Amino acid sequence: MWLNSLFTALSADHLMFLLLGSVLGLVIGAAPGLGPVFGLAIFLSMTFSMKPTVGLIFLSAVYASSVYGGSISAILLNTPGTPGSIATCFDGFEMSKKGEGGRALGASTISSFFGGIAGVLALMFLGPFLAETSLKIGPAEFFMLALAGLSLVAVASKGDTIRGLMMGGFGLLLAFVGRNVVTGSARFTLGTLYLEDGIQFVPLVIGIFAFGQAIVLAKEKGCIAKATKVTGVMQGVKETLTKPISIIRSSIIGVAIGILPGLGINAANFISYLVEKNSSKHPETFGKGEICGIIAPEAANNASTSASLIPAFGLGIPGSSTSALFLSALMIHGLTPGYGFFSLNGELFPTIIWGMLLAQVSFLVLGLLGANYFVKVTQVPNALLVPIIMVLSFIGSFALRNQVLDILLMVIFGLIGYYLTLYKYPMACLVLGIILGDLAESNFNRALRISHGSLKIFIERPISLILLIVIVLSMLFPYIKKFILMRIRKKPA
Amino acid sequence: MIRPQKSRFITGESIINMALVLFALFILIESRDYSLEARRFPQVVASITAILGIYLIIRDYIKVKKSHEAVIEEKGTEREKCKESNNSPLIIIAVGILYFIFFRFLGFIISTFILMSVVPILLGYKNYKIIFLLSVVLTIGLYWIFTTFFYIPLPKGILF
Repeated sequence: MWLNSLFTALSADHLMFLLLGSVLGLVIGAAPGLGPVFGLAIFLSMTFSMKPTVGLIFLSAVYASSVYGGSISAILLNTPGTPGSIATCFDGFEMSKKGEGGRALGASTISSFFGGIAGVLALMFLGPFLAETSLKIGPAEFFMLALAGLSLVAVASKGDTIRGLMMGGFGLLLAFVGRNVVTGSARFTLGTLYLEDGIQFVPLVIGIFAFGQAIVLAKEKGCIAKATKVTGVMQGVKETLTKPISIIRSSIIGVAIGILPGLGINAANFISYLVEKNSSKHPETFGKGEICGIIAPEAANNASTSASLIPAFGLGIPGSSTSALFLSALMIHGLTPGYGFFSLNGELFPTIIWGMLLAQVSFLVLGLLGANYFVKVTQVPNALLVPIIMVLSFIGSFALRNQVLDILLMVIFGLIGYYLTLYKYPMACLVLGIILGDLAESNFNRALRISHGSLKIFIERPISLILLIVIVLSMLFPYIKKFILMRIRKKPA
Repeated sequence: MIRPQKSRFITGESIINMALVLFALFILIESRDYSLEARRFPQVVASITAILGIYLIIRDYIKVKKSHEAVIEEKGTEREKCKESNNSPLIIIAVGILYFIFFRFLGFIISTFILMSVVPILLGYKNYKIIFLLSVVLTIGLYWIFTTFFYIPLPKGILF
């Protein structure tokens, strides 16, 4: 059955739409603001007349390539194409400034490929089992997961923990603006209808990173990379292959985050970056052009793409906007999601799996072939690059909701982002707060509603308790390590 | 050269910290009338953020006060550098706000063409042929791609 499905996936019509999906996904991913949600939403209607396998493979290619495509602009312009490539900017752009954009793109392409393959394999082998397990995770566990993510603020704070915590707090406060998910009441909206939907994440991220970067480039003049010789893409690929632990660790993080509803590729990208930095022997090199700072977030976000489909395919529960769109695609084609989806639909599931694997190969080839051309962007004078980034930022902020006010919001956050970067405030902490704020608050309130206001729920449920212990231990670990090292040093004396 | 400064203890960092403290206080005050569930989390986070902000303001003030001579000298040169460099950040912000104002009224094509032509000149780029070509190609190209392929209804403005 699997061999027959491979031949089906390799047939001309499947391959043609696979390639088309990959090219469109790359363009959408690289343009700031137009992420995978946008790509899937737009092209979903195109799949109505296609065969189910062709349609789903086409959407898989758009999805995988757009997540990878986000890293191209993140590395070359410090402008994350998708919210799932924010952490890639930190080291990617530093490498571009040194004239190592090709090396960075090589690392990002190959690590995205491996991450993507890990995600598809998780969907293939662990899908039915994980779909069932994810049902056991309730609000108490989700709150602990959000807390675990927030505890990484100290790691992300670049040495000034107080500043990092304050930026994390600022991010959380921004996340509270708008209608509360649990109570339904509008908060901090200044009486405006616009803020009732909350501060929109996409214009905010585009403002802080893309528009803020346009201001920085305008001030610096010249061009991004001063070096005339661009280092090879293959060098980045080879270096990445020497870091299997980073790839495996980040892929596992990506798969785990992908399965859990509500976290998404942005959390995968961010958390894996911070975990990688924390587990590195040289954390001080992160943010200065460290190749592992690209490998980890890129492997994780691509791993989470396919993994996020596990609850959607297995239980019919979409954990994110993208998996909801995939779910609609399944239903439009008359397919029923659920436990039986993995076994009862004949060749369909294996064909989709093959299609997803081929989608990873497709963006790998396109990415490696195109990297040498993409990298030339860093040689364009800033005076010409700045208006292009500005226009793409305007379109990106406007496109999702057709709201002109989103453009103003983006400009305001561009200004805020510029000044925060200028005075070296850790932006990673701000984004972490924004990503996890809503998740932490809504699940905390839900958990307390279930327990009738008792905090015991967080220690009575085994998974929640384990997570709490892990959080406490991870926070105490540096001090325990320091204490043990001091004891060891004292002994010989 | 050491320049006399009007407010020697007010740094860029302290202004940012003060703004963040004010924002946290706004959240604290605004949330007073909300239900317990709606205000619990924001109040805890706002209190912590405000305390951290005040701590940072005091920390920076003490640091600057301790070595204010050195800081004045450093800030003086920094300010000179800023003066020497350019006012590009202000240009970009002003253009961003003007684009927001005229986007709906003039439409995507005209407002984008003006932006693409004016910004490079303001940033000191002198090759007018390239500026004109880039403005035309990118404006029309982006409009065509986004409206035809991505179905984004970009505003046409009053002239179309």
